[in-house]
Amino acid sequence: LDSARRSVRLDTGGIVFGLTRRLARATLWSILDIRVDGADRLQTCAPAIVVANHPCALDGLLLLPLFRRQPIMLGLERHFRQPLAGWYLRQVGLLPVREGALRSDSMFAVERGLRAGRSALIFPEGQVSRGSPVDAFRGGFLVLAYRTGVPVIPVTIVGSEHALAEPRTPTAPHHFVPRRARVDIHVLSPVECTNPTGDRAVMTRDLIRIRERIVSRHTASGKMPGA
Amino acid sequence: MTSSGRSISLQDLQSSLARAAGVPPSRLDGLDRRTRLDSLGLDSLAYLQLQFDLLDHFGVHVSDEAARQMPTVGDVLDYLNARLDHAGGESKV
Repeated sequence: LDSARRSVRLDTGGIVFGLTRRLARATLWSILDIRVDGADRLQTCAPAIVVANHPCALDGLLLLPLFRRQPIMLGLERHFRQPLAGWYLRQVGLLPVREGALRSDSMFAVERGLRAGRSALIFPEGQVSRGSPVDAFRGGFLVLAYRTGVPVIPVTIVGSEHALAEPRTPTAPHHFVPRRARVDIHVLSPVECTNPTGDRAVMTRDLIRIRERIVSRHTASGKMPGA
Repeated sequence: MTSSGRSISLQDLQSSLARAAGVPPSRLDGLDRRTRLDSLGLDSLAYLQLQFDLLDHFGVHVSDEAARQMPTVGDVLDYLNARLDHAGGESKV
C-alpha cells in the first residue's frame, strides 16, 4: 500500500487548469460582457484543433472556460523564461514554441496530444494581431490536421482588444487589469481537412478558407446592431 | 549501409525534401551532399513537414536542436544513417 501511495503522482496540471478555468469564469467573464455562440461544438466535436484570431493577450484565458478538458496550447518560449511563469503556463497546458524556422518539437508534442484525444487551442497568427483585425495565418495547425484527421474548429473573437489598455504587449501589472468591454466569441462549424499528398496548393487553399471564415464572421459581427 | 541493414540514400532524402517543399523531386535534381538546406528556400512549414516526413518514412525523429546542427544535405544524411545504425544496434542487444 505504501509503495502504491508513493507511486501516485499529484496531477497538478489538471488542478491548476481547473482553478484557472474557474477563476477566468469568475473574474473575466463577470467583468467583461462576453457573448458566446456555438460553444456546444467544442463538446460535441472533440478532439479538435481550435484555431482563433488573437486580438488581445487575454484571449487564451477568455476561451479556457469553454473547454471541459484541458486543451493543449502553444506559447512563445520567451514567456516561459521566468521560472514561476514557466511552471504555471506548463500546468495550464501550454507548450513553449520557439520563434524562428525550427519549432517542430512542440508540434510533435501537440500531435501526440491530439492522438491521445485532447483538443488543441492554437492562435495561428503566432502573436497578438498587429495591424488588420486578423493577420496572416501560419499553416502548422493544418499539418497536424492532415496528419491526425482531427477537424479544425475556427473561432472568431471580436472586441477583446478593448478589454486591456495594452492588449498586444502587456508588461506592467496594471496592463493586465481588465476593463469592461463587450466580447463576442463565435465558435464556427468544424472543417474537415484532408491532404494525403501534402500538396502545398491544397494547404494554401485550406489556410485561406479557414482564415476567411474567421474574418467573415468578424466583419459580420462588427455590423451587428449593438456590437 | 548501416549495421541495421538499412541506409538512407541521397535519392531518399531528395524525395523527402521534395514532399516537404511541395515540389516534384525532379526540381531538386542538382542536389548533392554539399547542398546547403538554406539554399533550397525551405520555409518553417517545409521544415516542419520534413521533420514529420523523416519520422514517418525512416522512423528517425530529428529534434529542432539537432536540425540546427545540420547545414548541408550531407549532414542530414550522416545524422539519419547514424541514428538508423544506432537503432539497429540497440535492437540487436
